[in-house]
Amino acid sequence: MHDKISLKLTYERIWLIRKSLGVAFKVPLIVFYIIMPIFLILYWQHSVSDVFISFRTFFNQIAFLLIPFFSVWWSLLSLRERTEGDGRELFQVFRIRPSYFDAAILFVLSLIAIFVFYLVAHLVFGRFFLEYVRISMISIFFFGLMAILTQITSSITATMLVLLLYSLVSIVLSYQRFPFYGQYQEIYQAGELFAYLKFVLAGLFLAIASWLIPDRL
Amino acid sequence: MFICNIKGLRTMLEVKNLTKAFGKRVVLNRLSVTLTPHVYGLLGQNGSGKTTLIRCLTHLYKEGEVTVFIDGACSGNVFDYLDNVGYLPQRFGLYPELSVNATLELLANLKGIDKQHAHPEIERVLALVNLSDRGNDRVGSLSGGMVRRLGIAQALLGDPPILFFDEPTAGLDPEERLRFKNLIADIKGQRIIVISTHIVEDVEATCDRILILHNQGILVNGTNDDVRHIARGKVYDISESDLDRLSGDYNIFKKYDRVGEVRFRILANTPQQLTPCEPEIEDGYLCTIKSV
Repeated sequence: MHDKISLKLTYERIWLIRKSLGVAFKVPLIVFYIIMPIFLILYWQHSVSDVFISFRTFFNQIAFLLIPFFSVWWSLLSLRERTEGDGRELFQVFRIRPSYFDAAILFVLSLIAIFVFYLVAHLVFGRFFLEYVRISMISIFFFGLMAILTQITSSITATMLVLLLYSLVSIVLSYQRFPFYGQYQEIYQAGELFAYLKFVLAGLFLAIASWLIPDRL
Repeated sequence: MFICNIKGLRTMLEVKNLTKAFGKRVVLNRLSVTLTPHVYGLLGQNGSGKTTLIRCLTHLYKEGEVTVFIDGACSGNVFDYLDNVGYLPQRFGLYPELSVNATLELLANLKGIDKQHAHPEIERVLALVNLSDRGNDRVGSLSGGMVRRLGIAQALLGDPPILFFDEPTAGLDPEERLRFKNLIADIKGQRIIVISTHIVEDVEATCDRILILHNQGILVNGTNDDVRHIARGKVYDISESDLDRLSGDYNIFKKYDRVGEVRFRILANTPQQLTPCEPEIEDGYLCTIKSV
């Protein structure tokens, strides 16, 4: 027997979990690298006035709708066997609370994939690094929300639906009425990101709270 | 639950005053039992608490005081105990998208075995359950019986000295049930193996001790002969014409056909004017749960 949190074991486990996701693993990559660019290119081509400001707003709208949700896609599906699988009690016998550790690593990988998308946007349009930090902060909130919902509902489908609903509602409601989503306007200074610190704190709080809720059998 | 190591003491698992209730329904009440290296058949009616007991022994339910002695391992915490446990849950079907090999690799990883050490181990356990040729197949494409065998294989990963099998032969065809019995005979050695099942025939063939769970506790903990002995002098195998000769309190628990003749197997509380037959384990089990 070896140390269960060794780097080698973690790497091998993440690789196998990635394989276990099957085709679903590709979905966020398709969203980040194909669907979102297509939306943005189409919008760019059909814009008529005040192109750059409205483009950036549109970019943020699309990003707020899709990126937080798909940032937790891999993490959520990685918890499927532990939450709903036949024989899930084995994870408790193996005392794999680190399932959330694996989910967190997958979330970080997801943020790296999102970074690539924003890097390209930055190279093409400029000034997108702060936007990346903002969307990452919102995504951390989503991670916490995902973790607590998975633990409470013991259902991946229910969690996915609530997260999707949350994303949609956030787009529909203005930010004054819906506290957890910020404005779509561009961020010019790092100081403006402080307004989003609440996302990070809430996300971390929810993630820790989910850790403390006992597993169901 | 804790672990102690006493030099010279082999693997032993001792449960004291285990009480487990779900709401107001008490399933196990002040149950105490000591398990030593044997193959135990855990018998009981539906809802008698077999799975609950196994879940307590695997620390899924934290109730009860369970003391574990494992030869050569001394740590003082439950984690080291669980490192020495192999467990087949009642339902098993994890990672349907992965191949059999990858699933075992992942489960070995969760047990703390890295890829390099896992591969020979996976080959070994797949050979034991006759799945060597299905290593590259997706778990989702396997039949129910094969998935069950995969579940048995994962329990054997790491060669643990304590094994819990919850309904291991459910869904297996007769050939695979036979293979499972042979497998148990091959691996038992100095291990504690607990097999929960409804199939008395499997217990008879694989186990050297039997635990009968009834009325929230273990009513019988003995060898196969001990269980048979419970029914000695109480079992009658009679023809239809002998039915009229029965008197007092009795139960007909089996009606069957033998060479065109209808026969009855009777459990009787009171002595009959007939010659009792040699009891089987099933007779002892029925006598226990029906208070004959």
